[in-house]
Amino acid sequence: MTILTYIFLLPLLAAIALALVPRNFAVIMRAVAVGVTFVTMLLAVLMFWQFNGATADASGYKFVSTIPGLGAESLGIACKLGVDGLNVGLVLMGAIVAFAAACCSFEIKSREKEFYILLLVMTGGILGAFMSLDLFFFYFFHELALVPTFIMIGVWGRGERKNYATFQITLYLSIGALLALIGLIALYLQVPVDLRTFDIPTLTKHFADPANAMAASAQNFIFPLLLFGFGILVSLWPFHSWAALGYGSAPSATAMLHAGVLKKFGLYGLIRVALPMMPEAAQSWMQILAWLCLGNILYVGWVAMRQKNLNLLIGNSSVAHMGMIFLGIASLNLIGVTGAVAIMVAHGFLAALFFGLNGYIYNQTGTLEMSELGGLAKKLRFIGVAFVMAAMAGCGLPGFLNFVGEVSVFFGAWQVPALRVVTVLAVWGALIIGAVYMLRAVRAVMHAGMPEKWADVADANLWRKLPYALLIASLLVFGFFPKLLTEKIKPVTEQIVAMTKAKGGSLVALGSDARFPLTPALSPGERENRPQFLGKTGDGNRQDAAEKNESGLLLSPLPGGERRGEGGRDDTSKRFRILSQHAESAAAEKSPTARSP
Amino acid sequence: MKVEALTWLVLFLPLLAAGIITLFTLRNKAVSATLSIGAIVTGFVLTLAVIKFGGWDARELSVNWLSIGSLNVDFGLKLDALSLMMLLIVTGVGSAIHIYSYGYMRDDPGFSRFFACMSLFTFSMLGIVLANNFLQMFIFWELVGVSSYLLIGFWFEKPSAADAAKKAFITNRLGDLGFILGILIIFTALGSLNFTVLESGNSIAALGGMATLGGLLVFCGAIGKSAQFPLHVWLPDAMEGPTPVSALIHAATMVAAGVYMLCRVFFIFTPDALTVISWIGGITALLAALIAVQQNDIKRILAYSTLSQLGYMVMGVGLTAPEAGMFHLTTHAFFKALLFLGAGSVIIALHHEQDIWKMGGLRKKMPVTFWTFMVGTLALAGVWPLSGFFSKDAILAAAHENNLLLFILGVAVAALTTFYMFRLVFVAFLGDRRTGVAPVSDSKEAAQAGDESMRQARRLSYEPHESPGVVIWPLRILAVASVVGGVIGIEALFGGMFKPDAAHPHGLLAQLVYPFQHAPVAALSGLAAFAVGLFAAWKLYANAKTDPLPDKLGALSRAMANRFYFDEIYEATVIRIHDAIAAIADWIDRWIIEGFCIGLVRGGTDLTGRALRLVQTGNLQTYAFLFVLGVAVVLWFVLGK
Repeated sequence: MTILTYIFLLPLLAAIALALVPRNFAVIMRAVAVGVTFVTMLLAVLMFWQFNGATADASGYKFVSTIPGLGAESLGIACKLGVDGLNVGLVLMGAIVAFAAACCSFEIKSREKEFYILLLVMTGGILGAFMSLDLFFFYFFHELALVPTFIMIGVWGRGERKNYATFQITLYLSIGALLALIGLIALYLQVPVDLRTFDIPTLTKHFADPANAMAASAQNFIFPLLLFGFGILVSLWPFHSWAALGYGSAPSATAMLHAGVLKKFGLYGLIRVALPMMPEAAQSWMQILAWLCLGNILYVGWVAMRQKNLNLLIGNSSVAHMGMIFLGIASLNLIGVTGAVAIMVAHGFLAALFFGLNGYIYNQTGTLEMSELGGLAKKLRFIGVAFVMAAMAGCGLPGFLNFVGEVSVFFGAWQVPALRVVTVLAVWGALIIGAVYMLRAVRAVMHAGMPEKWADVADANLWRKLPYALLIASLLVFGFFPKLLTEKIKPVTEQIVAMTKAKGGSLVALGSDARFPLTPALSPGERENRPQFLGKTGDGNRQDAAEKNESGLLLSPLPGGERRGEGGRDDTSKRFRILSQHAESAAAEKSPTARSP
Repeated sequence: MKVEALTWLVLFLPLLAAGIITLFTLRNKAVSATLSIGAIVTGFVLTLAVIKFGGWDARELSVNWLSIGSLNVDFGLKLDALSLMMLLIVTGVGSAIHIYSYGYMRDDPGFSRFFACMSLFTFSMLGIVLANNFLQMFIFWELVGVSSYLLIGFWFEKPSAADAAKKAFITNRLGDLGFILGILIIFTALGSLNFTVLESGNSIAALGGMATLGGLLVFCGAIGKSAQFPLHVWLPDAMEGPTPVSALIHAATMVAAGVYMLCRVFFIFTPDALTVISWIGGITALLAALIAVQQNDIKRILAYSTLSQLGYMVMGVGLTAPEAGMFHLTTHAFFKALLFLGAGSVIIALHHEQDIWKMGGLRKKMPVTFWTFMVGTLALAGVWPLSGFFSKDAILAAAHENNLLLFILGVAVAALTTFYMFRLVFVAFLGDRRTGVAPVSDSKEAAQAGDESMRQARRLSYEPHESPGVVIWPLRILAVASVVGGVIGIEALFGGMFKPDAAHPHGLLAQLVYPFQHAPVAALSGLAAFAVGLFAAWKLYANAKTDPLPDKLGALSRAMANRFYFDEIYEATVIRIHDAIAAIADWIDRWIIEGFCIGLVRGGTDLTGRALRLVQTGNLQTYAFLFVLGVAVVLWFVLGK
């Protein structure tokens, strides 16, 4: 039992407890939901605070605990929870957003009992999914959080297109989850029978050993399943149209939790599972992912510019922001991936803030059509300030965590020559298109004259201000002191990037050669030739040096598949090998070859 | 503790003030103003202390802010002659403007919010000045953009102000786009962001073929912030903000940030890039001066004048004379802040009347405002021995040395400057008073203000009188600075930094006559330009009742009055194209992705459902038939093989 166990179990136990309370005690329901999420949040803050000092297990995870009784030993399933730098920020963010969402749920006036139970289940599921170190529960908890989403939109949703939105979001997310499930099961089956386990650290270690590396054909089958399965869950273009409409129709709390936190599950899965376990396929698909992310950043950005409804605009902007994260992942280097994780956390706070504010405005005016709103800042002074700050965070203003993430992604992506064009367009999308639609929203809702009919709207009281102030404060604290977060993320992303790049092929050196990314399966002979191929780009920058160094590690011919399935390998030696590779590539990165050679 | 550490206080006190005002004292005007003014005045005093005890030598303090792999970003303070002088300008001129605002904004309901935004702006501007690396500069660059957004849109209930704020922010962002790409290129090629490191290495050679491109992209940032052609369109609209804002942001400091940045990173510009920079500056100077000739709003005339002078500075930098650009920046900060504050004094006296053709005869009613405004005008026009003469001469001398075409252009702009400034003085301050008989205001923004008719009534019955002390004392102080700014050694200070080998004049007398010895052609041309401009303005506008130019120039005058239609051209091209693309994307999203793809899944499921329904009809005969058919098939399989 560690602090994680409590963070995870509290909301779920509270949900069960609420089920026993008679339905006419709505106030109690609300108090319990807010109170429990508040305690959860405090625990998460405490956990984040203690993170640096806590001792890590052999795989680098902290606060590891197993919940006895859950899972099936014969299948290698155990409910094991733990955090490292990659998910510690996400867990903290999830807990804060959950509390904010519970606070913002005052708008629910019917069937409070069911609503708060579902909210707590969703919270527990989300936190569980991010903490789980077991592939099965990782997926299971996500589904546990997903089902309440559908129900909440369907029952407590708003707007005329509520049913259609529910239908669409259910359809898309179920398909996405299904594809990811197939991928995960296939991944599980790649491990020899006697070693089969759902334990993520063990699996990562297993596949990281060059002797156990997954066959190229298997990688090429599984990776796209995970990429698009997870991608659909994150509204990767062109599978994005569920998001804006779904969030537009959802009650505030649901939109906050889903857009803010649950959506990051797919990205987390990509970084945690897909990249390190299937490095070759990952490298070959990243070029494609980079171009798809432009669909999010540019295309969805344009779509956002055209929206006339505030919630749809914010929904689309949230989809556009996902593009930045994908770009960071696609850059496959330390700076880019770390930036991507930072945006994941930042966007969680931001999306929750925006949907919460929209909920407030909707409750005051009964509409989110921008043509009917205007000048509200005069009446809603606090909400107005919060809204402008959210818009500024949304267009990547320094001072907010979003800026740190985005700028790191730009720096990371720019280091990959093949992604330069994409980066330029992404910067355009982030700096210009983002600013245009965000400022349009501010202009239409908060500025200029106020229609007579809104004369009696009221600003938030102290209690209602709390969730918004909390979310803004979180963005600002990490924005001013990004090292609080990046120093935790960095060691993990460093390791993941090293694992992903450890195996020969390299996007960096491929240049814009479109033939290669599609044929990652190389015979050992081809592998040998790779370094010469690498030199061809002649760009003479730091990457090249690093790449050569890395590929130099691989010159020892890799055995084919015949040795796979051999059991009882010495774990420490594997680990040592990975670490030494990683150290060498890190050294190469730091070496002062920055000036042209 | 070393005295340099005080600079941290200079930087963070305004942020602290902004934070406290926003969180706690929004309802208490006096405390808010005290905090904000106190922060910047303290900053000024501390800067003086740092210079007094630490000298002008270059030194650096920093802490690490972000470090991911090779990306190491410090948060640092770079102190040298350039940044310390700029620090003095920002805190010094800023202090005067803060104090003036206390009087100007007294009755505004958003008083505290105003001071919070001003302090935020001061913080951002100081951050640009003190930044020791590219990314830190970019961070504060963006923050300056947002504080200017908040201040231009301060009266956000006015649609024109809200639009102007949005336009300023987005136009600035276009420049920032280039800036960040330039930073990416420089970082990837050179592996560092720190100015000192970059300067000590041979940056241009290391950048190779990318050097010119990288430099020009960085220059894009300056184009946006310093409102150079073709991104100049936001600055005149920015006059929608309160007048102290126009003085602080759009005259003395923010727009100067671009020029400051060019000087700070002067080492990365190749000769080709510098040529482009000098021509952009020259074109801006000419274009803006021409537009200023036909504006009637007192603040807009000053706004275009600012644009034109910024063009001068940029041109100076491009002509490899950054010290001249910085010199002009300094003196310009004095006299342009003075002119804006003087205009503000007139505007409050006339209850927010800004049309110069409805003023007139103000000399007698507002003597202090008039005389200080005259000092500012003469300094701007470049009259010896006021400060503007020396700094303008430095730029003209550089042009004379390097590029004759730009020299001629510069002299022409100098004549135009004198012309439009004296047009303003003759019409607004001299002659007879027109205020009492003015027809109903037809200016666009005035008509949109809700209480316009009431204001109009007050205006008609109101006798203008001199502004209170809190307004005119800053004017007096700035007037003194405008007079002596040219001969207190600023030129030698910047010269010593950028061109340590060249000779620089020391001593009052030497400085007074230096321009005539050093570059007599430039100095005399400048004075001749002044004479020509003054004569033309006197001929046309002394005692004029209406503007005679539209009749004389016809279409050209209309083009000038309409700012050469830049806004219209951008509206018709850039904005329309973006909107059209957005419309197409939206259409695809709605009909292709949502309509077709989802329709297909939905229709497919539906169709399958319907097809399967046919199987379960409930009709016994059908079931019996299917049963028999099934049996037959099974039998065929089992027996047939």
